Parts: sequence; C-alpha cells; structure tokens
Amino acid sequence: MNARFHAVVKALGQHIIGKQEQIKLAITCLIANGHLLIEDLPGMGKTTLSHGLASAFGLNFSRIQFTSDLLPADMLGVNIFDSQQHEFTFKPGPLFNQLVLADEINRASPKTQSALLEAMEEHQVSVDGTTYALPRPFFVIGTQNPSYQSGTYPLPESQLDRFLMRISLGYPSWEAETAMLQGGGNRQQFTMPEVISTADLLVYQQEVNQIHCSDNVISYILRLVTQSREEGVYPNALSPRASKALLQAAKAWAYLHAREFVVPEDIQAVFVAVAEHRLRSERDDPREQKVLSERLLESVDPIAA
Amino acid sequence: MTAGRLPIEGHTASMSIAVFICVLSLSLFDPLMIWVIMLSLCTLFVRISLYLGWYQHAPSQRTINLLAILTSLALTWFSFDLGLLLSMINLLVAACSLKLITLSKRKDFLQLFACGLFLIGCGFIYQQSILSALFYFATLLFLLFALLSFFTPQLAWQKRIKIISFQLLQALPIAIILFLVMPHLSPLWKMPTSQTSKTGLAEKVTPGDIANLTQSDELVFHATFDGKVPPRQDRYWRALTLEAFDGRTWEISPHRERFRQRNQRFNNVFSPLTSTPSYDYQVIAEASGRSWLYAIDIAVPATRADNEQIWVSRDYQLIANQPLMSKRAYNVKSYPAALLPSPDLALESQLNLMVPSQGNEKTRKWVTQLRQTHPDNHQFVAAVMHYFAQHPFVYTLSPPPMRQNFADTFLFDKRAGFCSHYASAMAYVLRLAGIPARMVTGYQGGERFKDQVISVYQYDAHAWVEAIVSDAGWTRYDPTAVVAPSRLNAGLREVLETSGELQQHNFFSGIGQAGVVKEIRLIVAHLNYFWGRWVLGFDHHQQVNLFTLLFGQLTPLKITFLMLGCMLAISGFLALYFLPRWKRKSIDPVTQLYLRAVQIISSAYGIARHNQPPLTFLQEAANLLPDEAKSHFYEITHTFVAYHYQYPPLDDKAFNAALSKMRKDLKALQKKVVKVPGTNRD
Repeated sequence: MNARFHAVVKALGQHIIGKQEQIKLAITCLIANGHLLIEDLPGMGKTTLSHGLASAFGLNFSRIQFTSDLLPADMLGVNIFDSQQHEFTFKPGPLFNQLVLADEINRASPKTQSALLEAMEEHQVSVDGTTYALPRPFFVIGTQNPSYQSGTYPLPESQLDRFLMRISLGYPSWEAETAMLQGGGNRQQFTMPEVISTADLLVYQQEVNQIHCSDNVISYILRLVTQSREEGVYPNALSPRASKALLQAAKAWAYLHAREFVVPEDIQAVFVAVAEHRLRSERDDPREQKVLSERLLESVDPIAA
Repeated sequence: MTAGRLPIEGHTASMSIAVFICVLSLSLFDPLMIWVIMLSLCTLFVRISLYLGWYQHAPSQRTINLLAILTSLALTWFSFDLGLLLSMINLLVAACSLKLITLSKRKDFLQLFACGLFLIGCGFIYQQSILSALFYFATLLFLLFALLSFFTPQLAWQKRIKIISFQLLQALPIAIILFLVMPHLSPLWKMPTSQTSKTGLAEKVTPGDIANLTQSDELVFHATFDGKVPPRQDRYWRALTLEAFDGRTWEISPHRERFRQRNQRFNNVFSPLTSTPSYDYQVIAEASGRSWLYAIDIAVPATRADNEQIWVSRDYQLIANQPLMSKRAYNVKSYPAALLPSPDLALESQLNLMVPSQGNEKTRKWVTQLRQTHPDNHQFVAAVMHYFAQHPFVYTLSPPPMRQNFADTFLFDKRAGFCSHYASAMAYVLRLAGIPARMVTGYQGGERFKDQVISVYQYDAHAWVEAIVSDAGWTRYDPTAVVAPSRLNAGLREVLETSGELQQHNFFSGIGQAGVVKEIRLIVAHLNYFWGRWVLGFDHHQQVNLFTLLFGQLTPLKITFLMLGCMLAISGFLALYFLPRWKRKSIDPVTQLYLRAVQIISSAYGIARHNQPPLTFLQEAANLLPDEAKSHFYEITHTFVAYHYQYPPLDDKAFNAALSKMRKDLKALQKKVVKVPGTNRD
C-alpha cells in the first residue's frame, strides 16, 4: 500500500480498532471524490471515523444532526439583514465545510434530504437565487440507522445512488472491544495529527483518474452490471451511474495500493460497498436479506472465458 | 438459495406446487381412493395456512413419519383389492402429499417437481382426450411456473410466464420432429390391468334379469372408411360371439375359449374365405379394458402390423393381444357375405345345440308343434320370425323382469324387451328345434359423424342371432328388426321417440338440443376425432404413410438421409440455443494456458477457482502448492495479469516472450504438482 495512506490507516486504526477494511474503503471513497454512507446501529463508531478522517486529511469538519424538523435553510445558510449596511448578507450554514457529517440522514424529512443530496451532486447551493460554490474538496459522510427502525424516512433509491459507497462498521471483535475498554479510543482526548494535507488530497483525486483500466476489466464491470439486469433476482439492477461509480472506486482502490492499473481484485474489493445499496430494495428488511452483491460476484467469472 | 431451509410464509413456489399436486390428484379422481384425495386436500390446507402465516411451524418430521407409516399400512391393506398399478399411483400421490407438508429444502422441492411430471404421465393412462391433454398441458405449464418461481423469487409473474413460453416455443420444433420420427415401439411391458371396469358390452348376457337397461352416450369407436361406407342396416359390428347357454345366461363358450388358446399357442391361424369387394376402414376404439375389437363381418386385419396384434378367432371375433387400456387404432378389411362359413361344422353344431333339459315347458310344446308343421329349417326360421311380427311384441328399454322361465314369459306373456331379449329367445327356440344357433353381441348402425366417418356410441349396442340353417354356414337373423324396424333404419332414438320412452333416457339430452350447445358438442367431438386419429393413433403404419407421402417410395438410403436430416435439424435447434455460449469460448492463448494451469492445480489439490480473480486464487493455491510449483504458478498468474490488465500493454515481442515463458512454466508446473489422493474432484 502507498506509504502515506498506510500511515492514515494506521493512525485511524488506533481509534477504530479492528476495522481496517472499512477505514480503507472510507479513504478510497474520499480519494475517489465520492460521498460515503455509513449504515449502522447507534454507537458503532460512525462519528469517530468521520472525525478521524477529517483530522487525518486536515479538512474543516462540521456535523449536522438530522431531525424530522430540520429545514434546508438550517443546513445551507440564510440571508440576514445587516442593519448597518442596509442589505442582506449570506450567512453560510454548516454545509460549507470540507467534510460534513450528516448524522442520521434518514431521520430528516424528504425535503431536507433532497436539498443535501442536490448539494452533494452539484457541489454548489442556491439560496434566494444566488449560487454559492461549496469548498473543495467536499465530502459528505451520511450515516443512517437501519431502515426498519421507527421514525425514519428511508432514502429513495434514486438518492441512495448519489453515495459512491455504503459501508457498515458492525460490532467489533472480542479482542478489539477489550482493547477499546482498556483505554484506547477516548473521544475526549481525540486528537489526531494531520497526515496528508488538503492540497495533496486534491492532487491524489486528480491522479486517481489517471489509473489505467484495461478492456478486460471494463468488460468484467459490464458483465457484472449486465448480470444484475438480466438475472432477475435483483430488485434494482445496476445503472450506468453504478458502473461508473464501480470503475472510479476500483481505480481509487488500485491507487491506494500503489498500482497503476486496475485488476479484478480491485473491483471485487469495492464491489459490496459500491453495489449493495443500489441492488437492494430498501423496503425489505435488510436483516433477512442475503448479501445480493456477493451473490452477483460469485456468479460472474472475472476471467472472460 | 443454495442450501438451508426455504422460507415458509409467503413462499410462492411451494404454494404453487401444493396447488398443483392437489389439482392433479383431484383430476385423478378415478384411480385414487377417496381418502388419498382427502389427504391431498388436507396438505393443501396445511400449506395455505403456512403460506398465509396463520400458523408458523410446519409439523415435525416425527409426525410426518408416523403419518407415512400409517398411510403405507393402509395402502398395503387396500393394495390387495386395487392391483399393482392403482396402488402405485395412490402411493405416489400420498407420498407427494406428505412431502408437501415437510417441504423445506431445495432437494424436497426438486423431488416434488419430478414426481409432478410423473403424475402428469399417470394421468394420461386414464384420459387421453384432447380436453384432458389440454388440461394436463396447463398443469405442466403451472408446474414449470412453480419451478421458475422457486429459482427466481423476485421476478414479476408476467416475466416468468414470458420466460416459460419462450422456452416452450424453443422446445416445440424438437418435440414435433421427435414425435414424427421416433420409432413408435409397442410397449415394452404390459400395463397392469386397472380394475376399474368400463361400462359397455358384457361377456355374460342374462336378458331376464335386466329390468332397466342402462346405456350411455359414451363413444365406443370411430370408423373411418376408405371409399364406400356400408348402408346403415348392414352395419352389424360384431364384438362377441356367445355360445354357451344355461337357460338364463349367454356367455362365451369355455370350449371355444380353450380351442382358441390352443390355436393361438400353436399359431394355428384362421383365414376366413373371403371374396371381393371389401370395405376398408380404420377403427379408433376408446379404452374399454377388454381385448375384443369391433368389426363388420367378415373382417380380417388389413396390415401386417395389425395382423401381429390381432387374432381372428374361428367364431369371427377379432381379439387384440392386449386389453384396450387406452385408445387404439387398427385397420380392417371387411368382406360382406350373406353366409359365414363354418370352420368345423360338426363341432360347432354340437356346441350350439346345447340347451338345458328342463324349464320353459310352454315354449318346448310350441316349438315341437311348429317343427311338425315346418320340417324345413328355412321355413321354421321364417315361421319364428313371423311369430314375432304377428304378435304384439314391444320394443322397450325398460322391460319387466322375467326371472323364471324366461322364454315362456317373454314369448307368451309379457312380450316386451330389447334386442338381447329377442335374440336370446330366438336362439333358444332354434336350438330347441335342433337348429344350431348362437347369440352375437356388438353394435348396430352408428351415426355418420362426417362423410367417411361413422361414430358408434354405447347406446348403439345390439344383439342378434346366427344360425346354421343349411350346411354352408352361419346366417344372421335379427328378430329386433322384425319387431322394431326403425331400430335398424333410423337408430334407437327413433324407436324411443315413437314409444314415448325418450324422456326417461336422458343420454340423448345433449344431442337433441339445438343451438350453441350442440355446436360446441360437435366441435369438441370433431377435435377429439382428429386428436384420436392423428395424434393418439399415429402409429408405425401412419409414420410410414407420412414418409411415403413426403418422399415417395421409401428406400433404405432415403430413410438414412431422413434420419440424418432430422438429427441435423434437432442439433441445429439445439445449436441455436448453445451458439452464444460457444461463441464466447473463443479465447486467447494466454487465458487458455492460465486456465489449464488452474485446471492442473484444481484436480491435483481439490480446490476449485469458483470465479475468483487470478491474484486471489494465487493466494489460495499458494498455501497448498509445494515451493517450486508455487513459483511456477506465481509466474503464470503474473504473466496473465500483466497481459490482461497492465499498463502500458505488452508489445508483440514481449507478448511472445511471455507466452513461451508461460508454456515452459506450465510444463514445469505439470511435473511439480504432487497428486494428493482422495481430493480429486474431476
């Protein structure tokens, strides 16, 4: 792995113990210039991970706690009348930060949700007819509680698609939790040095696009998405946006591992995170569903024979 | 959905297969015992309650095992009465029903699917009409639907139906070719006789006991004539010749039966004397469960194949070598003759003069008187017929019972009856007078179904008399014709209409109606006729005919080409399906070499690649391979990755070098792998 990323993973790993894979995926998402959705039960370390990422890359961080009465203006910012200058000035909301943690995104009303998702897609917001560009890099980490919990407005499929990846941290292992209880990872003393500067991050995001992807890998991606469209067991087939996302994530993963070209292993490594939330039907209880993306991976041979 | 338990609530596939098995067992109402059907209905109920979630837990395996033991005990008990075939069908349905309750695994479902196909086949043992064929086709579709819903639970049902229809359409041409071309072999084993007896003619006739003749409008056979159709009054379809008479009952003579068996054993074939012209026709007989066939005298089988299957007995009966368990077609030539030559006059006279020495005193006295005035045989017979014409005899289907002294009561007292009464009384009278006489049963007339086709129904059943008046042979006499001439000229319906009995016999109800009902009935009858003639009756004979029609005279060379052509056509159809897969098989040499290396490792160490990408598989294999083999496989894998994914891509020179290196590595690998015994998976 690229030495600098290795340092980030190591640093984050001290606070979120035993979740190497998820940390790597989160960094991949960041350098692929995509947004991350973390779906998990409360108290699994979602916020810690976001804080950690922000400090490691030296990003301004803000956190918006979504509730059912949160309005778009609370998030985007408002025009306030300045009585000294006799004019309205725009007061930017918490969204104007490089890393935004949208906590419990599915507790907000659809109106607020779609305002956030629009900002994610366009990298800009419009308030009262004026367009304001969001800072660069702009990275949203959405967290959501499982959709079967009460008091949630599930994100529609079209909006889930905006998140490049969806990961879930899951319970820590016995050893990890022991280590945590014995003194590691205390939120109060949560200070992390900046490992990679923001400027470097922007360069990396450019370099990811230069990673080579051979025809064979593209054909593998196409076979995967075609299978999802033809086999008929998947509630939602993978869209062209999904295949683009898959390629982008695979490139970032290859870059993270200091390789100049994509191999099928890269696709497989990011596939569950990229594809599962697009394949699944949110209306069904996720506890009873098998991992559809794994099934899809098993059914397609990466070697075109 | 590879292993583990299937979901129960809301699982469409298991619900559909439950419905399927229940519907099928209801359609097998005839062969199934009532409690087996009830069992299957109960399981449907269990399945429904599981499906709707009224009840969450399927009954335990122990409960089902207990039920299964009880069921098999009961079936064993009943099997003594049922016979092998019926018990097996009952067993299959009962087993399927019990399996349905426990249905929880993939294996269970597939077993039920296979059993379902078999049950559809069982259904065809009992019903072959076009309607039942359509019904079974529909159930087959439903079964396929259940199978598809099992494998693609998320799919919308419209899409499933689309897939099924598409695949059936693909299979259709192959099915048609196989139907036309496959040799139609006669059954390899004999179907165990089912004991559900069919209504129809009986081997024993006791006219005096029958108070109300029950007849039906069931079809007995269709006869399709080539050329001329004999006129209605000449259409006497012989089925049985009854020669043994004990004063009440006519039946097939046991002596006759013994002679026939002996002749058959020594293949002592009887070829009646025949003279042209003849009527040529094909009979498609419905299943009767009996082995006698129907034909107009004097009948001989027309084709060689028929000759092997049908025995012509010396009393002019046609006997099939297997009971008619299903529809059957045979070709006959009939040579109309006034006289049936007697093959053994002395024996037949002796056989047909036997009467009980007691009873019917009045008749005996009357016969003696009549014989004195009419010593000539011809005159005597004429006098008897005259007696029937002179006195007020009535043709009725509901005659009064005449248990004691049948002949006396019938001839002098009641004077009412149907064909067997007249035939029986007349044959008895002739025997008393010393004229050898016997009763023949069969069918008379039949409706003209189409121009060349006669259909004969159960209500056309008839009985008449044959007597040896001169030494030349048997002459047919029909006393019914004297009493009710319209019976012969116009059919039973006419007779009943004039006597006002029609209302009692509702088997005509369908025919008499006008309008739509009649139209539909006719259409169904036509469809069934074509179905029987061209699909069920499609035998070796017709196969040869078809080929001759298409390709002219058949020569071995032509047959060879025809077979080859059909093979090619079938493989062509299959190729259409497989071609897209074959196309993908054109793979580059690097992949070929890599896959061969994978193959070597898989078979040596018992690990499969399972769609893993190359580097992942390398990691897995590295743990098992010995060091040298590991380094070779490492090289092969990395060359493969470099060729397929690396940037910049290899130029030609580097590619060739890589290829030859890969070949060397592969050879080395082949030597270095050590076969691990017992883990071989190929």
